[in-house]
Amino acid sequence: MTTRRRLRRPPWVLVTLAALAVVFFTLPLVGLVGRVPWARLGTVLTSSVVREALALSLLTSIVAALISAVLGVPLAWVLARVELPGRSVIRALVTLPMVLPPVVGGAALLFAFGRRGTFGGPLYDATSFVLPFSIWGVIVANVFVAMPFLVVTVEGALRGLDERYEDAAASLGASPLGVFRRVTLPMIGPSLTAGVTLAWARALGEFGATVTFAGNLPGRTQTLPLAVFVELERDRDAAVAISLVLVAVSLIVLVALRDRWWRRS
Amino acid sequence: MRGDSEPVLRGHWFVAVAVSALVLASVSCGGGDEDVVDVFAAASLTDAFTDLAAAFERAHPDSEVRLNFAGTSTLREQLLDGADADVFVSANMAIMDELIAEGAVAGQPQVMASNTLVLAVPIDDPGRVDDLSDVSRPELLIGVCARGVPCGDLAHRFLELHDVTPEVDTEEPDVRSLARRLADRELDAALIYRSDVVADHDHLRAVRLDPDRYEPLESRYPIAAIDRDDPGAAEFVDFVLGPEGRSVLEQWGFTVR
Amino acid sequence: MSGLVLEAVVEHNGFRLSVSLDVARGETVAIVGPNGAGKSTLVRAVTGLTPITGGRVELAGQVVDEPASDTFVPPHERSIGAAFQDALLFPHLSVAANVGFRIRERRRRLTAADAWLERVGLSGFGDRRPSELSGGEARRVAIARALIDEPALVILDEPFAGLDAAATVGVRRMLVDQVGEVPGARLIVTHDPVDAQALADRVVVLEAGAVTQTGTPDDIRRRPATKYVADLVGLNLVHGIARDGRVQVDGTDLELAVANRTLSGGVTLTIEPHAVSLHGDQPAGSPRNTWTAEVGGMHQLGDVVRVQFDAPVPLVVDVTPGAVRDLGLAPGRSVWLAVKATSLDARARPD
Repeated sequence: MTTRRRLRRPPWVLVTLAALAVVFFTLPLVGLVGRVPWARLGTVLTSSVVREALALSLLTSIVAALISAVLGVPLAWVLARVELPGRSVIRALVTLPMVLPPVVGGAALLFAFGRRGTFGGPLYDATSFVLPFSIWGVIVANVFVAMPFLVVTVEGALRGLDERYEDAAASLGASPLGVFRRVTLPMIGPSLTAGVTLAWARALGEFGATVTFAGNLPGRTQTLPLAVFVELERDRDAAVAISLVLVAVSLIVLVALRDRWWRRS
Repeated sequence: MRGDSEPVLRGHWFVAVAVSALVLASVSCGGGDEDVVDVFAAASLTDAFTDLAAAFERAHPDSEVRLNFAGTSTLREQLLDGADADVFVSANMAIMDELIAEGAVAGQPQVMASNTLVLAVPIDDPGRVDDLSDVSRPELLIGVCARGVPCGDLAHRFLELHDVTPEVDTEEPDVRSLARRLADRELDAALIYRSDVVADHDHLRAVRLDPDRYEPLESRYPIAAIDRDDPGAAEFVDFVLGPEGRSVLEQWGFTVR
Repeated sequence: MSGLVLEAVVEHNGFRLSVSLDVARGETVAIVGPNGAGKSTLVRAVTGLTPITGGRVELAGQVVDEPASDTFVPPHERSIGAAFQDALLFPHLSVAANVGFRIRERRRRLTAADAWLERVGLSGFGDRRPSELSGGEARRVAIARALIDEPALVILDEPFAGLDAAATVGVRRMLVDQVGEVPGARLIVTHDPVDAQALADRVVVLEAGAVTQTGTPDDIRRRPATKYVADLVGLNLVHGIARDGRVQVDGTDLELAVANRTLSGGVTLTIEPHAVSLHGDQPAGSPRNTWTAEVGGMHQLGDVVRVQFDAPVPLVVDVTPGAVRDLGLAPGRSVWLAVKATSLDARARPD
C-alpha cells in the first residue's frame, strides 16, 4: 500500500550545497559573536563613539533611502514605461555603482563634488559650502551606492505589472499622475518596500565611498562601518562590539520584513 | 529516491569537479620562493621603499621584493592574523614592541630612520596657514590621522603639548590618503610626516614653525626580520641599514642617524 | 447626436481598421466579429488608448480625436466607462472602491458604489477583495464599475468571455436588466450572436478590419452578408451560377431549382437549417431538389440536433432527436437531402 501523500524528497545534492551555503554565511557571524567581549560590551556600546556612530548611521541611511525612493521611483518608471532613445545607456549608467568598487565611486564623487571638483569647485566659490567632510557628503555617498538597488527592483516590478490595469484606470477617468498614484504604486507596493529596504541596508553598510568622499570624523561623518574600521586598528574588542551593533540592527529590520520582501502583488 | 538516478549521477560529477577545483587552488597558493622577500612597511615609507626595493633587486638579481604598504596598525592586525611576511617596518616603537611580545616578530629590531611630524599645506597655501594655532580656525579644513595610527597619535600628542585645540574635519585611516587629500586641495592643512611632503613636493609644503617654540616630534621606524634565521630577510635588512639604503631614505625626507 | 460617432482609420501594430459607426444616446450597438477582426483595436480607438490615424472620433458632440486638426482628448478626459475582457479589478482596492473608482469625492463614491452593487445583485460585497470573487461576480463588479456615474459611452468588451454557463446566465440577466437603464450610448463587443440578439438594438459586423454588415439583429439573421455571419447565425450559404431558375452549385455537379427565375450569373443561396429534410430513401413528391450525402458530424444544439454535411456542398441541417433515431443517423451514414425551391433564398452575388 502506498501512502496517500508521498512527500517529495529534494535531491541530496541540492540540499548539501544549500547547507554549505548556509554554513558559509553563518560561520563568520559565529566567529564574530564568539569574539564579543561580553564583559566590556556595556561600556563600549554606551561610549560616545558608538552612540554617535549609530545615530549618524541610522540618520544617514534612512535619509539616503528616502532620497533614493524619491528620485529612484520616477527614474524606474521612466525606464520601464517611456520609449526613450538612450534607455539602455541610462540604465547602464544607473546600475554602474553596483558594479564599481565603492572606493572608486567615492573617488569619482570627489572629482565631481570635491572642493576642487567639476561641480563642487564652483559651488564652493559661490557658497563656501563643502560637501565632503559634512553629513551631506555621507548622504550623497550613500545615495550613490544605494539608489541603483532601488531602481533595479522597482523597474523589474513595473515591467512585470500588467499595463492593462493602468489602461483600465485611465479609461475610468484617472489622469496619468492619478494612475501612478492610485494604481501603479500600490500594485508594486511589496517590491517598492523591498527596494527601499535594500537601498537602506546598502547605505547602512556603506564604507568605501563614504570614507573616500566624506572622510572620517566622529560625530559628523564617522558611521558605524567607519568606526569599526578605525577601531579595528586600535581596539579589536571594541571593533567586534560595534560590529555586533551593525549586525543586530540589520537583522532586526530584515527579519521584521520577512515574507513581505518576497510577496508579489 | 527511485527515478532520479540520472540527476544524482550528474550531481556526483558536479561535486567532484568542484572539490578538485578547490584542491588545485589551494595547492597552487602554497609554497614560498626562497628568493622572494615579503616586506610589510608603514604607509609613509611608500616612495622610499619602492626605490629601495628596486635598488635591492638590481644588487641581487635573483631576488624579488614584494611590498605591502598600509597604516602601521593595519599591518599589525595582518601580522597578528598570521599574514606571511619576511620583514616588518613599523612607524613607531610601540607597535613593534607589541608584535615582538606577541611572538609575531622574532628578529631583533633596529631603528632605521626617523620622521618628523610637520604641519603641511598645499603648495599655494590657500588657507594662509603660518602657525600651529591656525588649525583651530573653523573656516579651514584640517585633517589628521586617526587615533591608533602612529601618525595620528603623534599629531594629537603634538597638539596637546602645545595646548592647541584643533577644528578637525577628518581623521584619515592612513597618512598617505591624508597627504593625497591635502595635495588635492580638499584640505587646507594637515599634520603629516616630512617624508610625505618630500614625496609630493610639487603639491605640498611644510609650514616653517619656530623651532624654539615648537620642538619637533619624531616617529622612529624600527625594522626587523620576522624570522630570526631567514637569510633573505637578513640580507634585505642589512641593505636598508647600509649606505645605499640610508641615502635613499634621506632623499625621501627621512632622518637617518 | 450626442452619442458616439466614429469615422476613422486606425493603424496599429501592422493592422489596419477602417470603420464608420455611430451609436446614439440610449442605443445599444453590438460589435460582432471573429478573432483578429479589429474589435480590440476599435475599443482602444474609442477609449483613446490608441490614437486613430485618420478620420475622427466624436463623443457626446465633442470631437475627441481628429488627426487632421491635431485634436486629441486623452482617455481620462473622455466620458467613457469600459469593462474589459478580463475584469481587471484593482487587486489592492476593495470591491466598493473598485466600483466607485471613477468618483473622486469620497462620500458620493461610497453611496454610489453601494447602490450599484445592489443593482448588479452583489449587495454586501463592498468590503470584499477582488481575489475573493468568483469569475461571474468579478465580471459583474467590472460592469458596475463601467456603468457608474453615467458616462456618455459605455463599452463592454466580451462581457461573457471565460465565464462558465451558470455565471454567464447571471451576467446576462444583469446586463439585460441594467444596460437598458444607462442613459448614455452603449457599445458591446462580442463574438456570440445570441448575446447580440438579446442585448443590442443594432449589430455591426467587423471582419478583417472592415465593416461587412450592419443592421438589427433580425436583419443580420435573416440576410447574412458573409459566410462568417451566416455561420454565426447558423445559416447555410451556397454559391453558384444561376440560369433560368436553375443554379449550378460552384464546384459540384449539383443543380438546384430556385423560385426566382429572373436571376442569372453569380448568386448566393441561403438555406435555413430546418428547411432541409433528411430521408432514408429518395423522397418522392413535390420537393424537386434532392441529392445524397454522407453525414459528416452531429451535435446537440438546444432541443435540435445539427447534422453536418461536407459534400457535395457544406451544409448544416437541424433535425429532431426523434428523426436522428428513426433514420439511424451517424457519421458516415448516407442519406437523402431534400429542399424546396421556395425555401432557397437566392440573391445576386456582388462580384
